[in-house]
Amino acid sequence: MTAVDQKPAAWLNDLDEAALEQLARELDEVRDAVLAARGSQDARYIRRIIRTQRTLELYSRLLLLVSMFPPAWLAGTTGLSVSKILENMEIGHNVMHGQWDWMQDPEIHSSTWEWDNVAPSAQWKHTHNELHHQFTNVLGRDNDVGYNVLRMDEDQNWSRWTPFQLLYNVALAATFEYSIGMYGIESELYKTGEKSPEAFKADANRLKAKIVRLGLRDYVLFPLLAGPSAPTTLTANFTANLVRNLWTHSVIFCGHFPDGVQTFTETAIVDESDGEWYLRQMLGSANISGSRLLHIMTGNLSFQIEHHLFPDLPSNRYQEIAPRVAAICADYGIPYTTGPMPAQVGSAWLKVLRLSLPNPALAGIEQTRRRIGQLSPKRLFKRGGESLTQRQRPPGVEDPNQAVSPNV
Amino acid sequence: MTAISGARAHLGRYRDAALEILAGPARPRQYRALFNPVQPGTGRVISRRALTDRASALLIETHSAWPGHLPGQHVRVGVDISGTRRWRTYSITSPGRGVKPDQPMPSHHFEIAVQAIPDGLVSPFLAHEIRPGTLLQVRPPEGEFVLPPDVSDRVLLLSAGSGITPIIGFLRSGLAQMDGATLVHTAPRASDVMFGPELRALAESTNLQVLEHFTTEHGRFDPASLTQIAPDFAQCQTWACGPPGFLEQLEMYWRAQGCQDKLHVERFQPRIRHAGSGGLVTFGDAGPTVSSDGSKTLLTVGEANGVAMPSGCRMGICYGCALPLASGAVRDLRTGTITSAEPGEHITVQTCISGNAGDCVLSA
Repeated sequence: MTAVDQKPAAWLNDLDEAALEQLARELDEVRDAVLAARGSQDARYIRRIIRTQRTLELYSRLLLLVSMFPPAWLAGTTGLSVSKILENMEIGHNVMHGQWDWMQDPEIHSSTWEWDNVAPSAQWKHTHNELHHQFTNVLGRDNDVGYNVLRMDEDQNWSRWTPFQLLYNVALAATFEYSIGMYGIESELYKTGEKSPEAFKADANRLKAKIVRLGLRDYVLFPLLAGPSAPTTLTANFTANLVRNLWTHSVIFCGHFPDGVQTFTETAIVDESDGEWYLRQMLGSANISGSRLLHIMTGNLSFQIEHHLFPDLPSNRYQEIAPRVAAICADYGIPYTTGPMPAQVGSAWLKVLRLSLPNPALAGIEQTRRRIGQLSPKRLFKRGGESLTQRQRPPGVEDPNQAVSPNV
Repeated sequence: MTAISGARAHLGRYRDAALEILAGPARPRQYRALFNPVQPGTGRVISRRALTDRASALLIETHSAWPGHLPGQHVRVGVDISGTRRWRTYSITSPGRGVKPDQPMPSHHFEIAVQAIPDGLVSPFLAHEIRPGTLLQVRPPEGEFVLPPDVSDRVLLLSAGSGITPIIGFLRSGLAQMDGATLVHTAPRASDVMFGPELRALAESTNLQVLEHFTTEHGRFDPASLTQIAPDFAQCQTWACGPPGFLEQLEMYWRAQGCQDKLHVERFQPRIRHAGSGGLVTFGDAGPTVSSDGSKTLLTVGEANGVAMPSGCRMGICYGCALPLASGAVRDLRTGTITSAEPGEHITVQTCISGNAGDCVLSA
């Protein structure tokens, strides 16, 4: 798919200004309804999640003190992995978004929360809250599109290193917290001179300090405390961090890279109105369908569309507003991309594989695919996550996914 | 001995540093709170006892590190109402530290009394709804309106309404050592007097003289009537607490008698917050104070006046611009919602979507 370089409204189905204003009003109403209902039950929810996570972490770490016994290792590692995922996703990510700032509790506040992830909170809040959420899927502005290492869009440059990007993505997934940390110090801005050497050095030192501190905890102090179980505690902590990295990478990839999700050029966001901003967030995000447990374990980023529309609403409310948001999308003919996690993860990885080829090769494949499609009534290729997008597209509107960009 | 204690202190520091790292990035106390929610800075309501139709006394248990209070001091209490933490200040009514009352009370327990303000947010909740077991935030006691430890003369005490709360603390702590005391308390009617039965019982059994003045029957209290009630009032150390009008009246009278140095007053700052359309905005200790009509965001106002404002998305989603509101009120320019802060509260506001509602002070 290529990036949209016109206004999303015109590109999609020519929503006029009045329709966009109406869209913004309807979405504002969804937000206002949550703000009006927000109260003690939400506060109880986040406190319960934090309490659960800390209890789970504490007992898992205690169990790992005797991890030389395999069942203890297995149970402790599982518990610690789940605890770290909860801390990063449902708690850390959402607290740092300011979703719970309204409680005015300094211990659950975006200005004070430091998460169990080597990326220092302050740096992450800048690259994530400010850049990614404002410039969602805008090539050149939102570095989450490929994290500076992957080609995730036809409009990103192909280089001689791109063919190996499937391997990079494996490495990125395994070391995800370090990649996020590296990406937070914005070395590319330092190289271009947009970030001062002092600011860069200060950020790099903060990152280093946090890596050392968390490393000391997981790889030195807890193993030392475990005495004879030191080696197994070390492997357990390493495994828990790895599991957390792989999981968060998968969830993040499901948010913006499955098929059906749109990218934009900078010309698409010139003088963007509220309605257009909302529209871009919906076109640029994808949900994951699944159970309540899955939603909690993804930090409710399984409601990525709702999260991108309203990044500071409490995460426990996204599920409740999702049907309303989907209905609004249907009313306006806006794709609402969703699918089960395996399909969405598969679709994102397939994109990494596909885009490791240069554009002319992709165009060749596309042509062959169409010819085969014309020969046989049955589609030989079916890509995950696309079916819903197509079903919701109003008649008469060409599916932009099928269009081969003129510059290919 | 000193070598051993020095080594112990060293070990303690290493142990604390190790615990900080083991618990990190959370704090050790946050894990301790899993087992005992009452950590330093936290309190738990033990009981709520009705004093009048609109006032209750709350008995609160805190952590054993509680420093205790001097009679007359107040405490800042943070309570979560509809999920949001609200801070208010209340006088402590239980005996001060070092006092052995008849009914022994652990030194980390204290009592406050709260009278519900009609249409108020916090006081009706504390007076009528809060349940035993509820957790509160508590700051160390503070305040200069205290009974001197060496007071031994006869004293005069004047209070109006909930102004009785620090006074009851005085009486419970220091009445035994005083050479008598006269309390003049004014309230709308007898049923409105907080601690009424206790005061009347003290008047029966001790050297305390209590004069109750009911404004629904006798109108406003006139300080000149003191010449009959306590002819020697000008010689007495006098403590007074009540609404601003009551205190101003007393201060004028004492000044007129030339004995204002004997009068000590405690004001409860009323929360009169007229969220106006504009006012003065102060940017931190070192920053400028500028006037703004409230229609522009604090971020724009700050930047226009050369303040190095943190900023982010400038549209209210990223919280990169959030700054602590030290005092005053701001309005969310998107929704019109007013957020206000008392000094000492931890309240942050997004400057990119907030305008000042009246005066406000931002911390750097």
